[in-house]
Amino acid sequence: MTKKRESTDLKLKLRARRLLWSMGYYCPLEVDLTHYDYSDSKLKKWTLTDIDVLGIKFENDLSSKTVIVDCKGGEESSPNRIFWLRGVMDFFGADEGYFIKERIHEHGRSIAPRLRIRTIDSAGLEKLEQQLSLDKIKINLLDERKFTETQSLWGILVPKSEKATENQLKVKKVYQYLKYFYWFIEEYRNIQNIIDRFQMIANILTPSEKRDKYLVYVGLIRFSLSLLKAANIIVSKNILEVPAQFKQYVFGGPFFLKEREHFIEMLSKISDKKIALEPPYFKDLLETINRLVKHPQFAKHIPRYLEAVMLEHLLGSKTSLQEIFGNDYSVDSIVLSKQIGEFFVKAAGLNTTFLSDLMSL
Amino acid sequence: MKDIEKYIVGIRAQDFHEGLKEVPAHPLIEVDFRNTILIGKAATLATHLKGLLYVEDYRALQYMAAELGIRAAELDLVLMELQEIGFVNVLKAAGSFKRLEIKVPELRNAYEELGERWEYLKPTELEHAGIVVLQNVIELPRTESFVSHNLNLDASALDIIVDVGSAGALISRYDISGREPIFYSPLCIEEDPKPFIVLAEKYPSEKVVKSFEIISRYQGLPREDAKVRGNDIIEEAVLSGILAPTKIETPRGEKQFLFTPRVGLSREERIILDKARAILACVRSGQHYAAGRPIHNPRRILETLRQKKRFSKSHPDLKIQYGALVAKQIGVPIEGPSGSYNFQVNDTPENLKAFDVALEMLEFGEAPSARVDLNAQKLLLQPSSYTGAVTTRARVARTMRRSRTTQTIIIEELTKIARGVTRD
Repeated sequence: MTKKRESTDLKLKLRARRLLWSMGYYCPLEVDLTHYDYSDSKLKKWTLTDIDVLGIKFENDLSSKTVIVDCKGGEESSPNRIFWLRGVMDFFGADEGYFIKERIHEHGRSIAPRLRIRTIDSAGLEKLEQQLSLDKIKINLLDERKFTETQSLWGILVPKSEKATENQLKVKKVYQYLKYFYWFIEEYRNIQNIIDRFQMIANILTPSEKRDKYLVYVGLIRFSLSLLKAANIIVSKNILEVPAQFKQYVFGGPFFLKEREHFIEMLSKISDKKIALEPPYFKDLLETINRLVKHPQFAKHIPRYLEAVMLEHLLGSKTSLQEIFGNDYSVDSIVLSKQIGEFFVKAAGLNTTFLSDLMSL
Repeated sequence: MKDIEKYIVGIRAQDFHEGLKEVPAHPLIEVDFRNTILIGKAATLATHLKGLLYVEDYRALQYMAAELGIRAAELDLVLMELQEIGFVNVLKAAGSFKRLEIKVPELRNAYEELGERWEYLKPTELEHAGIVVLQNVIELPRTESFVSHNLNLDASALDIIVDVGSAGALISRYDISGREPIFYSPLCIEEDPKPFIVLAEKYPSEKVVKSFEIISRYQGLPREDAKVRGNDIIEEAVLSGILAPTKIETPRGEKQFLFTPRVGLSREERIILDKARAILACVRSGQHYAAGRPIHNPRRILETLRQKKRFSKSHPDLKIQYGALVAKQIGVPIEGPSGSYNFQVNDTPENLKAFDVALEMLEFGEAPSARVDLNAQKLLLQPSSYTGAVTTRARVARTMRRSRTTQTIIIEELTKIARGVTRD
């Protein structure tokens, strides 16, 4: 790909992110359909495909909407790319697709609505940006330098002439989890898995390292996303039975829960001490999820608040959250975000100073 | 002496604070019971903050705390304790209060952590003994020799505990001429302690404690339930008025439901507790005496009524089953299609509190929330109200009786201070 094309793609991608942000979406970075596999005793990377922008938005009842944006300025014919986007949407369970290109083929425009895809060319995008007054958004999502810096902080840093250390390889597995596995394993597993992954590297990460801090924030945002999805299941199944519903959810449903309980019971029999199915942090986790269920109108903003803290305080201009969120600014959302953050670092055994920016709000 | 569970320690510490909050400052309370009183204050404040996300108005918080017997100068110390156990975060900006973020557990028993914290603070021997004595006399009236020997207390320690306990209306002494005195707790005996004392003397203490435990573990137990049917102790307790069962008209006739006594509450708190008992008795009626399908999940019923103020479906049984709640102004039956009824809860703060208390009785047996001061909570929820007239309960300051032992100890301590002797 030429440098010019790369730059055009990036600009479109950032504009698409800003568009989704303005509509209340949280747009995670580092989403990749890349798979790592051991082949001939070496870890190999297999890139399956890529997603330009992913957007997730929660409503007041904690139900969520997912959109996927494809905004390449390449030569592929529109209809082909639109069918490809539909496939990726299905894979992600997305509700809607955005197909943003410089110019869009007329055939593409006619088939897209049937596939629940919106088509926007550059003139249309400009019009939308004006109508939604996107230039007034305080969070600087168009800053290419900041975006590139964010990208450069993602992943382990190994000089070309050297080999990754054992600790770096451990950390690499967490990157791989957040970027790839997180999106594809059964959703209920993510809550325990993220904590477990960070527990493994809690002693390796250093709060003063910007790279490590960024990783912790991305982990925390993914974790909050999973908690909101769990809270949504509780609200949709039976809001009056938070403990029972959450326990069922986190262990994979009533059938798996029973099976796991039976398994643990048998394990306890051959062990010296009684083993509990629930991890040690489960009671606190339950209290945290209960707060999300009780305050859904504030909880729904948590990933966006955490993302804003990460982008502005960790990497950027320190624009205040009041300015970023304007009329939507809410102390309730900040307090809930902090409570999730506090739970996360405690459960994962991480140094609390990783989240000092968040905790000082 | 059996170990007391941590959550019980938390509850008893709150009893000490609640009982002693209107007693003028006294060295034995302020010094020798300092940890217990501190944890008790923390427990009271936590009970009132539970369910909120944050408080930004420090003045309103101070007003609420003062209403609960926590002086403005003590508030930071109490908040620090709550922060230590992870129930709150106190956020400051440039040295000034910015926000109180609240994380008091709602799904689990928060008293466990409070009891743990009390132990961590290394309570004095007197405090330890105070908690043990209070718990024991709450379970059952005890003779002086039981308290001093079984609980391993010397006479002077017992004197101090009884003095402090009496001042707080937590422990009382019953003198019968020619016999050794008996200690009981006014917290669990309404008005005349004699019938309870007679019961305690007539039956082995362990048996009496176990019989009452059956009810405290299942509040609202039907009087004819197999667990207590034919139990002489329970029968006698009902006949002598120690237990006052709540009567409910059920599809199978009038039935009685048992609750352990709970006094030491203000008039408003007593009304809430009575309502809570009536609510729970109605639910128990649906569990044990339903004409059709019995209730399997009482918690769910209470939560539905608490949150939605009525049931999702009408049912022919509901009119009779919840009829007892009409007189108590908790709600009214509403006629539905073809002879079925729903129940509409009157949405008042007292009624909602009564549901909370009923839920706690269902889950934990005890109902610490019965002591939630609605006036104090209002100060926080409507911060502007602190400038207006504050409705407070009439309070009569109780003075502490000083036994000879207590008097001697105070004099000794003051003498040491006068001599310049320091203590660790």
